[in-house]
Amino acid sequence: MPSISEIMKVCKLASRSSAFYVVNKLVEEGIVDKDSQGKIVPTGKIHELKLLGSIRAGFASPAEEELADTISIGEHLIRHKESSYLLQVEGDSMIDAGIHEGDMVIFERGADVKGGDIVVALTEDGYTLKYLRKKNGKPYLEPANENYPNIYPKEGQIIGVVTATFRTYK
Amino acid sequence: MKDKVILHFDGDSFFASVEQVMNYRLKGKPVVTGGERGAITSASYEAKKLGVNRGITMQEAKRLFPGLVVLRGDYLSYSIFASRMYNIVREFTPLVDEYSIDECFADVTGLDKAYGMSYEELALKIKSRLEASLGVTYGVGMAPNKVLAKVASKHHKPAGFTVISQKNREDFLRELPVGKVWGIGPSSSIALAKLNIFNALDFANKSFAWIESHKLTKPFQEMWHELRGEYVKELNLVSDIPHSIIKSRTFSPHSNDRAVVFSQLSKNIEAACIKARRNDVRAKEVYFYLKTSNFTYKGFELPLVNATSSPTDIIRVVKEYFDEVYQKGVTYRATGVSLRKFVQEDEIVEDLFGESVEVEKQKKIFEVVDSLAGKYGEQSVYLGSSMHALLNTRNVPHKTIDLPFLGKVK
Repeated sequence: MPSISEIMKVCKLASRSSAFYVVNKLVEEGIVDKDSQGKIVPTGKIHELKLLGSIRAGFASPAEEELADTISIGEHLIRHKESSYLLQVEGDSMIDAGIHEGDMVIFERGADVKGGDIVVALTEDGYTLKYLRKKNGKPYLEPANENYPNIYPKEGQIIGVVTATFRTYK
Repeated sequence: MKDKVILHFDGDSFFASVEQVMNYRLKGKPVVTGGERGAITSASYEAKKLGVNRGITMQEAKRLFPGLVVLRGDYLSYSIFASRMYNIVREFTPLVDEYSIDECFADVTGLDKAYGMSYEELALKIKSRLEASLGVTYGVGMAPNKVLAKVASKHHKPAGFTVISQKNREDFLRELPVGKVWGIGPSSSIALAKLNIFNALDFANKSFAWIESHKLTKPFQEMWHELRGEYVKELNLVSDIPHSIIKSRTFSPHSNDRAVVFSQLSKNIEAACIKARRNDVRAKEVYFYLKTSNFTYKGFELPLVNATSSPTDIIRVVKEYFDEVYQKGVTYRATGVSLRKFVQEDEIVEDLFGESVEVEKQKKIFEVVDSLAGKYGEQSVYLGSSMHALLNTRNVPHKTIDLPFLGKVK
């Protein structure tokens, strides 16, 4: 480890106190420590860096065979990524379908929709999430909460189909 | 040789259209982008109907059309939509030329048989897939080469589809002022007017002897061939220079600490610069952004006076404007940087005085940094400002899928 005067030289610092400042910053970060004589000594964190490097290189796992058990959450939730978008649920109109306020919704634009699908429609009041139902061949949107009325969408207002929802707790 | 079938896809009012998809409240409203630089970069169909066009300045537009919605460019969303466009077209053919952020060419020669439909039907199928998936309309042109395909896609806007063939080629070219041909600028069109060439057909009908005797340069010769319906300009399947380099990472735990957030940004800037150096390019523009825990984000676009791939240069500039974006008390989940407007390393002529010494010095430093990276792994040597990010935060794994967040749903 370098001495204070070496640090001054390398960092082109004019004063020893500036060099001490740099060292103290490194101590704060836990990269180095000072021994009883005030000399700089490395901490375990310097070695940790290497470990970080291998994590960043991929889905590192000490046991190779475990790799088969991982799933990519993104790919699991998304069917066709080029046409998928996110929305966040507000209100409880789909509560009986298990979709809560704050849940994230992934929907696919332009996908084929059929009766029974949960769809996203864009109306004058913004986005709405409902079941798509059909009566005598005419589509309507049905909430999963009896306190809300059915909606009769205009042509072109149904813009996509929900492919996944997710929720985080922390 | 069998005639080529080339398609050109051109996003209508691309930036403004993406803004209207990202924020449904802007649908049907006159929207222009370019607020950050005081020049109109794109105008929605509604704005064009009002009378906004490329000839007027942002100031004039604001004065003339008080209802106009002026937005700062959101280049992160634009580039996500652009790569979605390339990928969707690529689902139909591997031969895709990523010409620009809102345009691409595709070679579909022979695919009529593969898909069991006519070329027209195939083009319309790709067009409707793009429009359904992206919510943006596309002008599509089909022709035996790139130059004519581009004429075709521009012919009928918005959302048009036009086919130019050897049979109807002359009808289109007669209508087209020569200055509107891809690659012929205003000054060339003035020079051509002196030679009595006013429309594209005048030019196409010249003999090869005439072309040679007037010593036209290669790009003009290629244009001449293509206007005559031949295929000369190859598709650029691998772009030599990337349009942009984006580095963004989500960090955990999320943080509202200015130093922590800045360190994350610094780390991303370093990573983007590494990639720029690996591609032998330097950027003339940087865009940085911070994403909040509430799925919103804000960014700032900055020009770089001297093209650079040095993180110290870029961090110096970004540092000055960081507080335009960073807000105290807000919790952030990710930072990102996008380098743009690249120039190739070997095309740069260093400024004679002052700067060049500093540039050379930095270049040497980062050559060493890069060679150490080759030996000990990427970012084994890094800037002090990135240290906190590299040591203390757990980064979410590298492979990310960006989904545009459109807001609330009831």
